[in-house]
Amino acid sequence: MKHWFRKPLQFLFLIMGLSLATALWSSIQLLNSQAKNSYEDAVKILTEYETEIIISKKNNLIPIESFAKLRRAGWLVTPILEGKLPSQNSITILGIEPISISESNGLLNGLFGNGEKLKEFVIKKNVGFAAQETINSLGKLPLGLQMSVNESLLTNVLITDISKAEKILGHQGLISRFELTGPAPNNRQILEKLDLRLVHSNSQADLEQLTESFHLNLSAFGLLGFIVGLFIVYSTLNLAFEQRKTTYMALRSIGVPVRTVYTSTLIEILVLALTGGVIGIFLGHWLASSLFPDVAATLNHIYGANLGNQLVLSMREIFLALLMPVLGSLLISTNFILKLHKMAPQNLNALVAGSKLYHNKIKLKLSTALILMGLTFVLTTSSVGLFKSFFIIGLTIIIAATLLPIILRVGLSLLVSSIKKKLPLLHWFLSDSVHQVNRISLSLNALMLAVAVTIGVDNMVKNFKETFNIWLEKRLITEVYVKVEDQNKAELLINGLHNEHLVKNFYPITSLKISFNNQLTTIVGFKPAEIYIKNWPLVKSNEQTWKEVQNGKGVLINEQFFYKYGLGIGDIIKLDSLLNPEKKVRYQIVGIYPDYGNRLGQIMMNIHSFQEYYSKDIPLNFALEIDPRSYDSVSEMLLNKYGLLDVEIINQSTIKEFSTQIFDRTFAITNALSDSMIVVATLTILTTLITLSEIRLANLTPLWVLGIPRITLLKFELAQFLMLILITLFLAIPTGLLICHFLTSYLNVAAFGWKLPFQFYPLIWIQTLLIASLGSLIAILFPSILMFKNSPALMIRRYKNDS
Amino acid sequence: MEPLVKVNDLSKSFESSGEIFQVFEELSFSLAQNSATALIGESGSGKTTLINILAGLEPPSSGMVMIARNEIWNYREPDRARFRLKNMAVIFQQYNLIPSLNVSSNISLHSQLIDNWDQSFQDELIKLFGLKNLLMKYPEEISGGQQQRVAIARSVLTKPKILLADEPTGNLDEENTMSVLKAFEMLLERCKSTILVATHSKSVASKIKSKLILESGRAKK
Ligand SMILES: Nc1ncnc2c1ncn2[C@@H]1O[C@H](COP(=O)(O)OP(=O)(O)OP(=O)(O)O)[C@@H](O)[C@H]1O
Ligand SMILES: [Mg+2]
Repeated sequence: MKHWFRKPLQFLFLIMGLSLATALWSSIQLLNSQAKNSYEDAVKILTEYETEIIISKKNNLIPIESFAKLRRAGWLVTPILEGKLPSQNSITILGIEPISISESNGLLNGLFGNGEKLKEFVIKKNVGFAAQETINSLGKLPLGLQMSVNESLLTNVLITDISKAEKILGHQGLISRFELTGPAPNNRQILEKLDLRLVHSNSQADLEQLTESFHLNLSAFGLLGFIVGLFIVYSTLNLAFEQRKTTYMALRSIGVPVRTVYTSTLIEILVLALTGGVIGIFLGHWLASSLFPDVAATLNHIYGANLGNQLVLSMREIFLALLMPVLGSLLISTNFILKLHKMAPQNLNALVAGSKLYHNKIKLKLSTALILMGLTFVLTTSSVGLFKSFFIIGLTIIIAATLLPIILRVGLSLLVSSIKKKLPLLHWFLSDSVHQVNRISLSLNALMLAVAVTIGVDNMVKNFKETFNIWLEKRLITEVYVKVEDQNKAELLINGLHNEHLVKNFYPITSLKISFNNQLTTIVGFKPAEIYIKNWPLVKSNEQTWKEVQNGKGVLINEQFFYKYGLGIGDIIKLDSLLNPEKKVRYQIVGIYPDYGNRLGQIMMNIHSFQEYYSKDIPLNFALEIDPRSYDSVSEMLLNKYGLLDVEIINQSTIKEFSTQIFDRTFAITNALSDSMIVVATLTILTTLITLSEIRLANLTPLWVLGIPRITLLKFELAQFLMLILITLFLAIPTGLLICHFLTSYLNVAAFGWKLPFQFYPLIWIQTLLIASLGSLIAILFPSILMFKNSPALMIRRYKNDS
Repeated sequence: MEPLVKVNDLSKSFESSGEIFQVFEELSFSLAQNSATALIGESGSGKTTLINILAGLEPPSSGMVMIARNEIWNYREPDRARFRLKNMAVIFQQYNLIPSLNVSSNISLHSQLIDNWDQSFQDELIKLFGLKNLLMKYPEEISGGQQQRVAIARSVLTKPKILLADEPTGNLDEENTMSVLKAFEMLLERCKSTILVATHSKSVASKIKSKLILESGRAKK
């Protein structure tokens, strides 16, 4: 322990390295779990729970008799009556039927908790649930309810028994909608009879997918951050203890029991790791807090939910955050003790030169790398799941980390042998660099990985964005989209739009969800007109594609469907007709289209076929082809003449803007994190070099004694680090691209069912490299100058007294 | 003939924890060109310190050091280093070698740096010191005595004007000590070098006629 008092600067940097690594990891992790919690809060909003609902075709209230009819026909539904409190307009009252609603999982689970509350609710009938705030604002309104506080509910939502709600709202025998508590049967004739229709609360599903992608992004980042952090911890501790081998050997030789030496080492390393770790948690908390407003903004933007601005450190987070430095320190102590054990006393000098063992290890490492590469390759050829994709990315990082020192060493050794004796100083310089690689390879690795991860993720984000934009551009084929809620308006539109001179053309779109192979699948009916043929993006198609869609025999599928079932062009699919349960309809797949931000499989077919076999409902969505300049007059016409609401008219550019905004916000955090990762990695370089400066001194002093001026040595020293770091950074590019490749082609497919086309963005790489080089340059300059600032006499004394 | 090394009123003191410790005071002596001198004195008498000062590695507290008419302590540090590179060779007790170069490169480095490399002389020295089998090894892989011999071979190979050696035979057996003395003789004969050897070894001291004795801060010839 005394060691550290003699070298306070080294100690400082050691702790700094440890805490920064922990900070990086814990902040990512903190943000991740916070975002998740916040999202779960948002989902508690009962009314917005993702579900399938049944409403009246005419948007009226539904007579309660339909409930029994539906149940008898095998539909698992629960009735809901929703309305504003007559006496206080800001409060929404939700009437539920407790028995049937408890069949659903998730829905209201938080409400009843254990069975006790449910029993109370069923028996008493006059219990009301609401958040405290709601109860306060209800005040003493004479509702005749016995209020029970439930903070999982949104403010201004009051839940009570449906019979009670009927009375309060004055809608005797009527309900607003049914919610499905089980999968919808494929026979939908009963809906027609009762004049009802099945609707999916799509918006919620879309949102969920966006968050999922957001989380996946952060999780992937968390994994990468963990690995980089581990490297940093490992390399920091490794160097610190490498220097002390001699002390340990001396202790052993004067008879201190081996075990004492080992336990004290272990304890010391653990204490260091924990100290650094705890400081790191605070730093991480601070970092996360400064980033959190961004995250909150993103989520608020996406959900319109109001997330608190407070980050909470829970025991779990603290535990996870400390896991990394502790794991790293355990790894390093095992390694270190093994090394000590192997080291015979006469090999003491080994520490000055970097270990000889390294020479033999190179073959072992190379073969390990090759085996891992083979494994990765095998993994990529078979089908890839989410876990496997993470695993592959992890493997890639390990392979890159193993290969980096080998490449550096082999490359430099080749150079050494090619110049040999002619230029003695250059020869020394290169040989010395080879040795230097051994010592700083771990921190070079940390730097390379940090940069590679940044390049990989940035490249993916950019790739994603660009593709997404192009796709949006193509997919939003017309200027205006109309999405109406009820069939009356739709009918008006269909009959009237023909005669509007402002509307060049309009294309109805209709869709519903069916179950295919027991999984929810969307089928879409559309009119395969010229405008689609020209614009609709397809990743796979042939000459017959559009002809087959037009004659109704062919369908298009989305990528998700393609990856899910492995069905491609030319394959036949058979779907159950919903209008005629006995009939199976045969289609041939004739094209595949990209469908970002969607998780469900989707089938697009001619609208005639759709209406023949699935639903005769009037389409509610329309694409309107207009002159872009006439957008204002068209929307005015739609508002005034057809009675549409603002929200029912969607401007193409608005969608684009909105999507881009969500997108940018989602990835703003990733960017901030990857930047801090680079900063931390360059700081590791700094820590390493400071720790190393004494070993370096022992290496350089013989040259100074020979008569090489110190300023020359300083130049060499700088040149050497610069060279190594530049090579390292250069190697980070292919590694980053590989990571990007696995992220886009495997992780994405596994998670979302679509593949991003891979593109290169050299500008991003250069930008990242520049930042990293600049950081490294500062990291190099500081310790080198520190090292040469000492008076020359001190240099020789120090070096002679050292060890 | 004018002496190659002239030392006048050389004093050296160290200041440690507030106290001033005088190693030697007003030391004056000279070393003739093409001569060998043994530097003798008990442990702690200042031999290493003197050699460091002569080599230009550690500054004296006062006094003058003149080597081949160069007053080395008036030079700027880089010039002093270059002067050392060209004219001197220094052998220490330990850690003379460059860890990242193998034995062969270590031996040739200095002479190559001053463009003074002589293949046949190198072969001769390698044979003399029995280093043939070690050439491809790295310093960490050879013993202390072997390292010492490599360092001596390197220094001799540069054919220096002045060779400063601090206990060069400390780690060596009798046979190797004889080889070292033989190599010094070669330098004296072929290169007209001037040699100063700090040593505790009786056998080395007995082979070198001229002696410089450090005793309680004074020098005796
Ligand atoms: N950096 C220093 N600070 C303080 N005192 C020092 C320093 N270096 C050497 N000394 C002292 O100067 C004296 C001479 O040291 P030096 O190393 O020259 O002795 P030496 O004659 O070479 O001894 P040895 O035969 O044991 O090698 C010693 O008493 C030593 O304690
Ligand atoms: Mg000495």
